[in-house]
Amino acid sequence: MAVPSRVRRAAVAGQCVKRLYHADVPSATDPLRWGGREFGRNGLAVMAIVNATPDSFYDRGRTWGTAAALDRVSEVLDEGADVVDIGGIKAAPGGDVGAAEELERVLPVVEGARARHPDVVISVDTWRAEVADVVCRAGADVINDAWGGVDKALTETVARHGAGYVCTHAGRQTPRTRPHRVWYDDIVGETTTYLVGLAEGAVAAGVRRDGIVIDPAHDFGKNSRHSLQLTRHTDVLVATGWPVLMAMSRKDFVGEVLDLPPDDRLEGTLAATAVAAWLGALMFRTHDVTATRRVLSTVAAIRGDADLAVGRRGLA
Amino acid sequence: MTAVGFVPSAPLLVPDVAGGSATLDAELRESCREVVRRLASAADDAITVVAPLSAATTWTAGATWGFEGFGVARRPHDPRPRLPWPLAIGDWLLDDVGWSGERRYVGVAADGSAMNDVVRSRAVLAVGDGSARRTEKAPGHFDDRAEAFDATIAAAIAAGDLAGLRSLDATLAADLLCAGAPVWRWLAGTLADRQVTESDLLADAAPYGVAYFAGFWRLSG
Repeated sequence: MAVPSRVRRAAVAGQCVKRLYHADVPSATDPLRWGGREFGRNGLAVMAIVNATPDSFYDRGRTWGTAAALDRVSEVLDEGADVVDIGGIKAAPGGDVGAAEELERVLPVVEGARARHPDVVISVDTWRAEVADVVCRAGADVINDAWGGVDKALTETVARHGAGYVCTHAGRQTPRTRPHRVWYDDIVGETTTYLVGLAEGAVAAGVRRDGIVIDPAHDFGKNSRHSLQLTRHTDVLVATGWPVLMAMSRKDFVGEVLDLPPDDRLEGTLAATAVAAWLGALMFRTHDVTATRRVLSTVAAIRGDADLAVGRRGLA
Repeated sequence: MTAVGFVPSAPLLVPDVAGGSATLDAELRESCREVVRRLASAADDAITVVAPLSAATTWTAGATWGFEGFGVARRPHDPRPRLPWPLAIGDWLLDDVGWSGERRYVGVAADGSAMNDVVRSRAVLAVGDGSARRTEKAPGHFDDRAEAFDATIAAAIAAGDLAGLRSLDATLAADLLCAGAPVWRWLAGTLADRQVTESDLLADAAPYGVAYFAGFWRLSG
């Protein structure tokens, strides 16, 4: 396999050299396949957040309850989402939500979304293999392992269902804990190595190679500067050859740059989105589908990967 | 040992780490400076910085430090040995008040053990803080035992109560993410039956869900 130019550049920069040349690295031209969809590497995709929770940090229960969550699924699809990511447990600490309760929240939304939208790509945000098993049987296409490989049985479950898999780096933290004075000698190197290890482990467990993406998990086990460094070095993650998902929407690292609460973090999130898209990330997990879609379309046009929607100016 | 200063191990004490919000913690930082100024005036030639680390260690004078592991911009290359960040916070405070005397560094392990050469120094700067579980938004989330636990520490520092620090429950301290407990227990053990002749609690606050104390003790010679 020819070494992509980005790999050479990252190698010259001295980052993650050993891993980047690993034989398991997929070709950066292979499409990602989730559900019935193919995501070409020159495309830019939107994963819409659908919270089946009463207490997530931004929407605070706005889509709580099966009916509200299903309405949200329809809404984000109308807005141009490529994937819906359904989650039943907020990331922050709080009251325990066991697997049974998680399934009570998530399963009806997965079933309803599949029934209403036969072709939609459904991702479920869970770290638990037993939850993944049930939702995949109900029609979920992807498991978003947002706490980074905590349940060792998860990849085997994903493999058994032929589902897609999101590898994340949560700083090896216990699910639903906050980072506290976390120190990284090399945040970009550690994150990249860890993600490539997870991806390779998933392949070894039987997960489809063309169904795997890597996500550095902004703010999970990280302070705001760590999240900014990972954004700045998106190209290092991209150079691994695995498709890169960025989950940055309205997070604290944006809030701390601007000293603004979640309601006022859209512009900052979109700036980070544009930068990461320019540097080669493929997919963006967001609360704000329309705005993200517009940013990505503009980036694609600047890159030359998409043409104008309208070509009139000066051309009539 | 004739004087002890107590300061938190919060990275945000250092303005370069806190960034634009450094001014929010100016009062706490000033309390810490006052502690170190008093310590410097009580010291003869050396101050020993003591902080919680993963293992009992000592560091020699002439070490350097930086906070790049927290994402702060990297300093120019420096070949000297590097202090772990909890000791670096104490060292930054010594820099900040202009301490020009000798410096020694001791890391106390989680079990309260240390390589015990510190008693040769007259002045000790004890770096560490209370529970990180004081509020819902705290790093360790809320634990309803945290406030009373921290009140015990504050009272012990305020009163110069060695027995109070010595009797801190190590298991509870670990549950409550209390970073300072190993240092304080070790300190109380090292001082054994010495008398604290002057004690002052200059700060006792938990603005971000982590308990910060600034205090000063003078001991009988």
